[in-house]
Amino acid sequence: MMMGTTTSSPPQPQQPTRQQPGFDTLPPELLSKIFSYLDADFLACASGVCRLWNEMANSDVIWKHLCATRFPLLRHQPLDLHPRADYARLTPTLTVKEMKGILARRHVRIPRGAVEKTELVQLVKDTKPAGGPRGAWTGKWKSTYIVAELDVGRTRLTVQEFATTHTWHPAQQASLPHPTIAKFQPDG
Amino acid sequence: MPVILQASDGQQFPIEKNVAERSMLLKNMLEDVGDAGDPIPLPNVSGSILKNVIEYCEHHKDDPHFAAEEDKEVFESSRKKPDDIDEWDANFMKAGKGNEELFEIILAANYLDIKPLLDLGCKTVANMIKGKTPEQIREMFNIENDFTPEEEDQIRRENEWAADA
Repeated sequence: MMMGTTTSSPPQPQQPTRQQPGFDTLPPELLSKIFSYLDADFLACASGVCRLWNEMANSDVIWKHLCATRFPLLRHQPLDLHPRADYARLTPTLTVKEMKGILARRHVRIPRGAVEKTELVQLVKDTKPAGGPRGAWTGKWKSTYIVAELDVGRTRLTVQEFATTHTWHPAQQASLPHPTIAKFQPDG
Repeated sequence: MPVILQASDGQQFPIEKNVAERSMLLKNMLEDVGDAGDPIPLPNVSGSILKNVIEYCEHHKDDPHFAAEEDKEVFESSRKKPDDIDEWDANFMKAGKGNEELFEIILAANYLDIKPLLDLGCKTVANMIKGKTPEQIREMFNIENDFTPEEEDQIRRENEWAADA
């Protein structure tokens, strides 16, 4: 018999079954419950432990909940995905409603009439605001949380944002010949 | 009349009914079949762990029962600060318990449906995770690092924001 011609694989060495219960014996829902007690930065750390933890620690359920508890002032509004996050890699996880919401908050005009989902996907990919934080994260709610968190420490508006904010209120702009632009220098 | 619990290794524990009723599983069982006095076999729980669980239930036997309405959302009910563990509970979790015992208690609380003990166990583990690096966590819980170096690198970059926050 020649080496290397056998088709049947050699018997697998018996996996040493670990008797001591550890994290691998916990059902995923319990891991998820444990993670629900962690704050964002510890959760970020947990996502670097192993693949299973990474998947569980990036889950939308957990991050959506973190968004709701971290930004309680928004609790009377429906919780929406942040328009300044980069969703280019996440479009398969976005619903049509979510994409329309993101585009509306980016002030992107959606073509009238029936719009194909693929068109929305393209629009979401094409219209990432230039001033948004660099970086893309796993999970739409994780992205939303991080962008919102980074926004907290933000003291500057981009000229574009300032301009678009004001086009929201054409009437107000008309009544103020010199809108408060003078207070904002383009560079902070 | 006491309720008799029988652990996986055959050890029997006679306990008061109101102690047993801390466990929703046992409470429902006792309501359905009545306590005929026969030992109730718990094949998923070893004697040493059951002893711990009973100790917890005895201490908490007079706590008000939180009914099922608390269960509406896993997160709603569990989303309290992990630090708000009362002193007896904290000592109970610490007292000579290694990681394996801790996990066994969590599994037993899950199986027996003792929600406060399950919450306590999960909070305790969450507190152990806090402030540790991924490497320290792996070491503490004997978890294998199954990332490729590229994946690890990507995750590190993804989490850079947390370092500044």
